[in-house]
Amino acid sequence: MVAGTPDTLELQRLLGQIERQTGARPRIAGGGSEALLTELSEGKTDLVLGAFTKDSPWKTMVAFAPPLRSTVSGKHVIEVKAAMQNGENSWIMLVERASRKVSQSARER
Amino acid sequence: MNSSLPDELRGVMRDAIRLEYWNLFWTATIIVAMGLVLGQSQTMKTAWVEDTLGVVPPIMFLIAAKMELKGRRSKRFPFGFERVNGLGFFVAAVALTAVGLLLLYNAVVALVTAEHPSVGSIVLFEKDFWLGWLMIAAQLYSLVPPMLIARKELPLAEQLNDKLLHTDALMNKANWLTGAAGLAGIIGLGLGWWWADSVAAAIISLDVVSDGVKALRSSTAELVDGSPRALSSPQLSEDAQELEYRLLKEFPSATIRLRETGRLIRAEVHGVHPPTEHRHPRHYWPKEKSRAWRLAQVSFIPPAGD
Repeated sequence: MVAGTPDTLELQRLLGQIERQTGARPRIAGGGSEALLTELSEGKTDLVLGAFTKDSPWKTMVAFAPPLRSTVSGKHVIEVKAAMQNGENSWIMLVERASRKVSQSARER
Repeated sequence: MNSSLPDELRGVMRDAIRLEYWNLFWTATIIVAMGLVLGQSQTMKTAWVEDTLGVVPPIMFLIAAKMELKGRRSKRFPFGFERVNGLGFFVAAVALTAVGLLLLYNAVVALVTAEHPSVGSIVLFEKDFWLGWLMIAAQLYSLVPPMLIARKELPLAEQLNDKLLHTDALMNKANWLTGAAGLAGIIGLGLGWWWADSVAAAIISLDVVSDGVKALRSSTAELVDGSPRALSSPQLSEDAQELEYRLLKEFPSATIRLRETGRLIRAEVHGVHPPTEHRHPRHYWPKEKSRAWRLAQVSFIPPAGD
């Protein structure tokens, strides 16, 4: 979980949904977005949850799920969403589905 | 006849122009369909660029055809625009080769750096679909129009002796190979083989480079007054070889030089005097008379010192 991410209901629901679908128990660790996304792209973490800009420079290096919640801050749109390692296509699909299941905002994307 | 196109080709040329407009229309639908489902897949991007590049030969053909049909001989262009087609062929060949090499480079870099492409999902009719299924559907769709168009293009290209149209037809005909590689790449991704995407992209780009190099060899041969080349390969044209044989039979001591300006052949017979009776260049055409328009000029250059 990226430090400073608002602890929204959608995030808790998302984790719960993934837990139910996979039967896995999450071990949650906090940290800065750069460090966590680097770990994610190296395959050391399965999922990063956080608030990222819509045009995040990481968008080609990791796969972002549809946003659970969006807010506008100046010229930027900040989206609370999950990030997965590129190429983990069935995991990406599972998290994307779960995001849509728990959030109206994600369903509309 | 004041334009550079032989009169007997005007009807066929109009048919070819109509077909190429259809070709552009169907290619545009493929570009849109593929563009909508590109995602991060290198295969899809490569196939999409290849499809987009597919508009270059028909556009060059249409420009050249309009100029050949409508362009009049003038003081500034005394030979009309018969070589515009050759120039268009060259432009299409350069575009194909350059983009093919770029795509090959991208595919190799993706393979070497072990890029893992992500193919996510989208919602359609309130259901989650793996984007890969849509990519497969778009790839399958992209196979159909080029094959149908190629079947119609080939006979027209042969009648017109048009290398640009012929290359386009062959590219369209061979499109199934690209499609099969693209499908394998996407299916491979679905099976978890990240490398399948880059390998498929590399195969498609090699196909593009091969088409480009073949076209480049033929088109540059024409631009530097090389001997006429066959329609589909850089080999010497059978027509031209028979013409040379025919001329040598009548003028055994002569040196024959043949070159091609667009679809027309021009012959120079060196070292002999011209025959006394007046003959139209078509008189020397060795094959079926309906194709005699191919021979536009026969010039005689007497031996030096005469």
